[in-house]
Amino acid sequence: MTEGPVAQWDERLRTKFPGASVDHDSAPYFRGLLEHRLLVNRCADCGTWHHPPRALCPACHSEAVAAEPVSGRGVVYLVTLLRQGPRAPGVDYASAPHPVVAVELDEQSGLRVTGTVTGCAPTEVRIGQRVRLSWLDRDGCPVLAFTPDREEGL
Amino acid sequence: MTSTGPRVRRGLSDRIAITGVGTTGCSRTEATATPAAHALRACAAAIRDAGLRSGDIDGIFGSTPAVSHIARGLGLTNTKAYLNTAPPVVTALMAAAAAVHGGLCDTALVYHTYFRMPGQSRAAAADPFRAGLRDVLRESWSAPSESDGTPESLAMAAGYAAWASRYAAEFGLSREELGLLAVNAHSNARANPLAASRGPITLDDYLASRMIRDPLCLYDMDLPADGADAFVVTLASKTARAPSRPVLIHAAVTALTDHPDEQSLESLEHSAITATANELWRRSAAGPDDFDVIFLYDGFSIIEYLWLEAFGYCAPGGAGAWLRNNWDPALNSLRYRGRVPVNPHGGALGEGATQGSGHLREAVAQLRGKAGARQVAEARWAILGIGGPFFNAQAVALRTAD
Repeated sequence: MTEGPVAQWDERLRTKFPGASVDHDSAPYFRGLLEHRLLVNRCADCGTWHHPPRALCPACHSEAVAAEPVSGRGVVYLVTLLRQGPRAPGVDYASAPHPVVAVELDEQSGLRVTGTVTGCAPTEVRIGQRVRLSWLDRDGCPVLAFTPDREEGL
Repeated sequence: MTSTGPRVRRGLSDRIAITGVGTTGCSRTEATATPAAHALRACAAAIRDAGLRSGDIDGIFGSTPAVSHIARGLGLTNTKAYLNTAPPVVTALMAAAAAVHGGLCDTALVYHTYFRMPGQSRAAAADPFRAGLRDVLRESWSAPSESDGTPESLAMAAGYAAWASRYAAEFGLSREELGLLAVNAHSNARANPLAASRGPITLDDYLASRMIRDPLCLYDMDLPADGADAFVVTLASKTARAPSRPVLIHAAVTALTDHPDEQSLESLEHSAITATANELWRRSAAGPDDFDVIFLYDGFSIIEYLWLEAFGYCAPGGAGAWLRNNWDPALNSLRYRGRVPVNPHGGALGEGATQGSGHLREAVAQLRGKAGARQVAEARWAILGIGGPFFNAQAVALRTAD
């Protein structure tokens, strides 16, 4: 299921993602988050995925781009542990460092999304580790998260 | 690293000179002047330094505040060309050089202002006039990302730490080696009266300092500071009456890749830094070992590793060993091949977070032979790698005229 080029407004885009840059290009992505679905823009003409969402396909300049679900599986490409950072409910940097990862999705080389990590200690997160999508609820707001994909192993 | 593509046009190489420089220096304890006040002071000083008056300036290129604000504040009555440019300062320098070379104006002013956000220092937080400040650096560098302002963002500081982790995973990253950059910076800053640093640090100080975003600690981050730097740029052929030795722009590059953000950058091997360094060598008659002084941007220490490797001073993964091999224990500072310093003014880690304009100012001072206790004997060539691997890498080769 995909969403067309004209994004539908949803009041929750304001209330659930305060401060985020929700606009016509990114609205389908954020609407996906509301349903705990990770949607990434893909070109209907050449098949190339891109993220963050833009109005044109960067590979062929087609305007036939739409947000499509991805498997949510991939590999940790970048990681850092924040010992300080933006305030958020449930995030206490003093008691435990907050992991942030860029995950390279299986759909395409170089296609990455950023989130946090659940299901293991922050210091156990490793670059190259296989992960799958999980979700975090932060005061009713969905947060993109990944968890070690132990079934697949390395 | 060496030329691979077709021969580049000579263009403005060696035809544009920096004839004036002005600065406020880096202030870390006071927070009572506005960005405009800093910019105006630096610009006025640069015009005086070039032996000129306001009416001689007919082009103005700078970051913040807006050029119209600065042109009015300086009473510029003759502006023919202007541009608001995103920092680092090389963007403005290149725009000014191109405008002068192309005949759009004759004598251009270039400036960059740095200013602490309330969250960046106690003094800045205590200044009630700063409470509503917008982060203009962030806004000028890249499109907003979907997670800005949340703990799940890799924008800005977190991104450099995440790529430092990537470096560690690919090559290994020794804190004992990385820490040499902070020691070098603070050692060098001691001889720089403009610096915000409070004095030298030891490697033990570095190793004991607080981790902020793994694997980067407090001393891996630049010193937030207020101030401004300004430069006057004109045709090299018209510098006979310049009061100081002109410094020529030999080559300047600002390259981008097609994935210019923290999350999506292709790899350490294919970044804005490697693209910029490769293009610099296509445009420069001088090679890495021809430079008498090296400037590497150090908003975060790890960026210096990327520039060292991209410029070819060492192989990918070799920066840590390079630091050890070129360490002068007597000076507690780097001396490449026993002679060439890196960031002799202290860089952003030791002088202050100038986003690179301090590096350019010091390069001009060195090539003029006016760097005081920091002076490199007979400095004729300076290389600068400014900005980071995502969206603002810039390289410059500067030289003296003789």
